[in-house]
Amino acid sequence: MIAILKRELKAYFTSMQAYIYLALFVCVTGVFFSLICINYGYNDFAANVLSNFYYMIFIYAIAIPILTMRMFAEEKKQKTETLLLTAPVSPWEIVLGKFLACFAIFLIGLLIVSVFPVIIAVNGNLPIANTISGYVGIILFSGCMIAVGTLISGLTEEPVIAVIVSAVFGLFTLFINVIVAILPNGVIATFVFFGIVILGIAVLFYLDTKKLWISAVVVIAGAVVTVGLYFWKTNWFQYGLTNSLNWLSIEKRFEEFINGAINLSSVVYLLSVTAICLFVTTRVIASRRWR
Amino acid sequence: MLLVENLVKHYGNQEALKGINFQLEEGQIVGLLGPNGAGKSTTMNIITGYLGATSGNVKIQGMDLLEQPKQVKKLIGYLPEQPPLYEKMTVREYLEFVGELKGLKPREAKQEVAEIMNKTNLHERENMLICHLSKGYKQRVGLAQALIGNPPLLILDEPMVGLDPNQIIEMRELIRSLAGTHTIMISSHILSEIETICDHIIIMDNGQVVAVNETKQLEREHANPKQLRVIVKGNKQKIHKILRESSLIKRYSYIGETEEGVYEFQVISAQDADIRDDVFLLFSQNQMIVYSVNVEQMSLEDVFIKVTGKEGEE
Repeated sequence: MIAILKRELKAYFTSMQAYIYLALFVCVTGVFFSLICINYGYNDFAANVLSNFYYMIFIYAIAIPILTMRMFAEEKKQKTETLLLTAPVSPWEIVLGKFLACFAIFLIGLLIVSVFPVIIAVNGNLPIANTISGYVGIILFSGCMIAVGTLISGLTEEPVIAVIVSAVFGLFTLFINVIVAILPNGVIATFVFFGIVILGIAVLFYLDTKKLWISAVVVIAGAVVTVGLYFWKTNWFQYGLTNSLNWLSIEKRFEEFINGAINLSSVVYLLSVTAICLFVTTRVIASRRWR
Repeated sequence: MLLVENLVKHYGNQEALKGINFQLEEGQIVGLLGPNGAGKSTTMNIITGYLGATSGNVKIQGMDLLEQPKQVKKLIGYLPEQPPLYEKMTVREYLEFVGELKGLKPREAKQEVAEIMNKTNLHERENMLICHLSKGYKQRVGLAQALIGNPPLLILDEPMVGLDPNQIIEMRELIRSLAGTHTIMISSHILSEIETICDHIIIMDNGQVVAVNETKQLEREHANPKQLRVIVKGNKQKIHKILRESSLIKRYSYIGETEEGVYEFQVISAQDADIRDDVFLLFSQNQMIVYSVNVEQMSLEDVFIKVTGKEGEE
């Protein structure tokens, strides 16, 4: 794993990718910092800059997708995939090596822009606790989004598709509140939503295994669970659609950190999503053998 | 060393391998021969663990590839059809990375890479980016990569493709120098290559193994003792007359004049027996000098055409 991590880091810096990314990241953060903190005198860097809505759109819909898009696509193109898959390393080591390299680049960027809160601390009054919890939040949230990007990059061979899908996912998590507000509620809406999700999963299973009975089992199991939920938790089911989407909202958990609270359940949630995405990526990589 | 049992591979509905069986002994150099699309690369990809087989087993030194993937993969050095090179790395960086990937410590990797670069003549290019290397050098880096970690089994998929004649000779010598310490499996659709390097041959066609044997044995097995090549010095008309009138000979044809007054004929015996002695005596009784009498050897190419029913692509 260390070998892959080292190589990936080197590759980021021998191509222009890392430099372009870091320049863009620092530059955009600087613009937000001078506009918000210096111009208007807001002193909470984490709350006013790092979790500024437009700034988050930049990071999660532009910067991170750019960083993750080439992770696996490049290996496919250069045929170096063969080397990794026939070497005595497990898919976990491959995925983790790549993920950590990407995460490291992100952390380097974050480290550089940490001069901004230091500037505030030197010249004024920095709310230390809020800044720390905000940093913990942004690191966990970004790790999560990089893991999602890793998974998307592992699923597609085209970097362009990877970047678009990751960006759409980033926007979706950020706009989930807006989307939830305009969605209908009620039992029928929940049934329709669950139906679509179950069918989608069944289709994915079918495409992967080409066995109809597996999909049929998925549909039947999904239907039983849905109907069971309807009778067991009728109240929850009334707002099932919005409840599910809110639960899925990674960004909602992130907000707590910005408000200065490090909530254990949110930490666990973000780490779990990261781990699940990476685990699914290892399965995707391993399943390539069974084409 | 390597045991392949009942290997079957489906790509969707297409059956790429239909139950492949063969065995490699320690120290052999084996050629895997077959027309394009015969399943050579698929077989090699499965042996190295890059692809999964639909059914069947691969065992290396008694260990199953699926049960102990890490240990088994350590025993294999693989050069795929397209060498897996990171274009933006220098030769040395790349090889050191492969060393570490195969589980060597950074210092061990450095040392081993230096040795292997010596062996493969890569020293003068060690600091060049791989994307600036010629095809021949890239192929050599690919081979060097397979040699790292000193794996006892080398799987080389079409190692000579795209090389110029000089590079082919170099590559051939390099592979030969590895014989003895390694078991080597080379795939190719070019017969002459295999013929000069390999002592054993597996011929595949259409997802099946159609012939397995020692190279020389294979040529001998498919030779036909009824067909002789005779080179005789003497009067051409008289030779024709002798051949025509002999009861031993069913049929003959004139091939050409090899030197002035020396003629070559193809002779087919009337019986199943070897009639070389009789042909020699026949001419010597007539005071003619026989320069050579040989059973017509079948070249590997002929064997190949015979067992696959196809022309090999050259």
